[in-house]
Amino acid sequence: MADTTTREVERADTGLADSDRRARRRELLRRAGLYSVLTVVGIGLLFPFLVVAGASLKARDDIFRYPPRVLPYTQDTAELAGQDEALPLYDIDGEERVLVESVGGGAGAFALPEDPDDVVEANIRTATTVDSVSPRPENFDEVLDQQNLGRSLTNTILVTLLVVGGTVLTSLMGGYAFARIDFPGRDALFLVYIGSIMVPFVILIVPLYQVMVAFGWVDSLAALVFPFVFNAYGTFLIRQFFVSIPKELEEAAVLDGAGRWTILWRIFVPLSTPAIATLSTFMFLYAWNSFVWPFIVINAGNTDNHVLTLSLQQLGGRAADTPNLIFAAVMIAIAVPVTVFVLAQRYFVENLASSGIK
Amino acid sequence: MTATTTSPSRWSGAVSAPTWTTAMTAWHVVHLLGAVALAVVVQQGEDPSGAVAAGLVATAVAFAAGDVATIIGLRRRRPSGLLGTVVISYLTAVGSTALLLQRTGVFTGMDALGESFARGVPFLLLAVLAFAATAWPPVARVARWVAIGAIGAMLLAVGLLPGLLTFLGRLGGVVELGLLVVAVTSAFAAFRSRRNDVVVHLRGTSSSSATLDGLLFVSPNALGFLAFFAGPLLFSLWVSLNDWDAFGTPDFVGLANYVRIMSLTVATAEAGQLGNEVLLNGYTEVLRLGNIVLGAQDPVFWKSIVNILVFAALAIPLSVVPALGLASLLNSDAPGIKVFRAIYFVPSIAGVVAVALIWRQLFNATVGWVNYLLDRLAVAWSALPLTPELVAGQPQWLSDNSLALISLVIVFAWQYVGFNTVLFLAGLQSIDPTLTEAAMIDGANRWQRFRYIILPQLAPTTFFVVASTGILALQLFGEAVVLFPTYTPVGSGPQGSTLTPVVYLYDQGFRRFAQGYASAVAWVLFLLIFAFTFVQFRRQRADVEGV
Repeated sequence: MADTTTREVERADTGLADSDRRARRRELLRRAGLYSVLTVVGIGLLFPFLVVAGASLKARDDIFRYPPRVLPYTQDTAELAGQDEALPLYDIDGEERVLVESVGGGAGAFALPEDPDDVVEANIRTATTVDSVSPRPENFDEVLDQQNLGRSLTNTILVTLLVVGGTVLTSLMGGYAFARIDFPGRDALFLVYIGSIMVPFVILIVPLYQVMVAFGWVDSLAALVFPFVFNAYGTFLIRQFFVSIPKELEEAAVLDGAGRWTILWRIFVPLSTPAIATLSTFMFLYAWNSFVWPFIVINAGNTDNHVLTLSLQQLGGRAADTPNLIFAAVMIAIAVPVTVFVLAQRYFVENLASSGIK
Repeated sequence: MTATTTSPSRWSGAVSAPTWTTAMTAWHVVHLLGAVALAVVVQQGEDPSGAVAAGLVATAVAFAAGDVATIIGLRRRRPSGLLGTVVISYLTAVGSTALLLQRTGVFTGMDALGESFARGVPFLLLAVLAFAATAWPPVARVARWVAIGAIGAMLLAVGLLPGLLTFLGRLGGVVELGLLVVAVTSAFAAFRSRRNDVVVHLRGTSSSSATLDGLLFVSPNALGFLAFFAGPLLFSLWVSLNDWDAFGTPDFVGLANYVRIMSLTVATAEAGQLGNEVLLNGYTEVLRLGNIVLGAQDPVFWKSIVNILVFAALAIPLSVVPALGLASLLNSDAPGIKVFRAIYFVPSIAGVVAVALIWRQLFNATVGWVNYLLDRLAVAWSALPLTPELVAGQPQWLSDNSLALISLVIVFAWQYVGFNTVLFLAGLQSIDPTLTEAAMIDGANRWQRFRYIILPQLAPTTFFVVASTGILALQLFGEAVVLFPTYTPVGSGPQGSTLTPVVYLYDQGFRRFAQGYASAVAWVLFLLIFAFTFVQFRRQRADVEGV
């Protein structure tokens, strides 16, 4: 209390304009500090993505170059006067020279392109190369065609669409029943649903695999779709949203003799765009990124039924000598969810955050 | 509701309600006989011990009991007869349809769709665009037709017609035709029994009608839940009591799997003495603190528990505490905050495999960015006046057994810190600002306001963040598998330093095919996760009540 009074006295003394200016300056400084901290953290969180974006456009050798660089470079070449063979270009003591031949012991003979007789010897490995930025977009073609990633991409899109569509449909129906229809056992069943959200997926790995064996679905895309279109979290989310819709809105429709199905689709669904968008985005990210289950249920050898995550993991484990292709694949796998997130984040971030807390 | 308010349709006229009720009674007698026959056939079958067979028998018995109750209800014209006939007919229709689709290979036929789907994608995009355009009134009508046309074109492009022909061709078998007849009959039975006249005849009330509606709307979700969650959960409990290689006949062993997992013993050993010399027979050393040796029957499991506890103890604080700080910073009205919030969220949506592959390159000991930046930092530090010389060295992040787990911690914290920030921010924004204002007037400083007002108010959010991060951390698997693909078991890292419980579970269940043992491991891990969540919940409650 004492503090505020002094400040008030000061304020009266020095005049309004002066203290206003000082307050504004303090606020500006605070803002500058705030933004710099936020930016540093943001760079820390985004930098790995920049690295992978650059690496996806690099040639294979460029990835193993030290010091690491974000942008893709290739070594320049030049032709020796009188010859039409392009030779790698180096910077030796400020002069651009081409490597003519290796002379043993790690050393090489470097000649001036315009004067083949002016030769100096230097260590090849430590010699500075002359580089220029040159992206290599062929990486994307190569990984899509040769590594069968195109098929994985199609499979992933298919599985994701079916999971999202199926989950939204079952959740809308279930959510409506839990929110509006009074049937015996409803509340007990709803409690079981909420409880099931807490059960970790590990517990289901072995028995769900056995269910797939019994159905003959092991190693097939059906195993990636059907177990995941019945979602307690989605039902819960939709139910919470439906409960908040005022009952007056449906009363007119009930008086007109509309059935529940009509009420659900004509009244509840159009009002629930934010909840449906949240659930769709959530399920999209979940299905697109899911790894543990495809890793278990899809045979590593059956590349026709791979999804992206599985292909990426296989590619990463097998073709460690083609990291540029791996990063092109990573970019493909990341680009789609990031795009969806950017488009949907208006709904998604806030709803996901608040639904978790309620 | 639907049944009592819909106008009579042409279905009501053809057969009168009393006749229909009699027909339904006959239908349930047939259904009852069918269910009993199924139970007997399965019992006498080749392999009556399998879980599938047990499930079939249980379903048949339940159906038979339901049929008896329904017949009685129908004879006495009670609503229970109505309820029974609709529910049983509906379930029979769903079950036989699913069986028909399964037998004709529709579910597994999706794999073929994976090949042809690429041809449909352009049409699908067109449909999505056209659908989005329907929001703009001048073109709404055209756009809707374009969308419908595009969907049709997509279905044709992905091979709807050949698929349908194949399906129809496969319907020729006796079993398939039988299933088709049962499906159509029971679907019609369920549909017709919900018409107004039958409902009135069986003295259905609005509450019995609501019950049927509720069950109908919940059914897609609840049946799937039963088949893919509740059923497997119970099955898992049973499997964990068996010694089972996934293919042969399970061998019931009671709690033996759990006993082997949990068996621990303690002994004392002199320096230089081997663990095995002092421990009981069958026990192997897990940990040694001074001269106390901890032994277990399954040392690998306990190694995985130690690993995951160390991981969680580091990863949870590292992805929660900075998130709280960042959220406090973001909780301001400065412009552009939402951009930062979105940026921070990106790592969590990139997917575990992609993220782990990125970090595998960053952690590369010779050309990775992590070591390069550490080296730059060391050089810059050494160049400062009055600072001792510092050499970064070249930490082998992924092949040094003391660093491998730390690498996983870094990846995990990087991935989830932004996600947690967004959750905390939502929690902070929901706190009533008058509370902190009142405290400010009472002379509480910034720290006091944070400690005594904001933190207690934030307790539910903190619980949710810590619990969900913990659940993720304790199930760590994908990151380890991708970062350490060359170790056996896959993901176990140098000298087993990143062997987590789920990595162990995968190795037991799907490489050694000890599925009973793997299930027991899963249940123990589940109990660990549950205990963690429960403790957090109690702490939250204490926090709230303590104020």
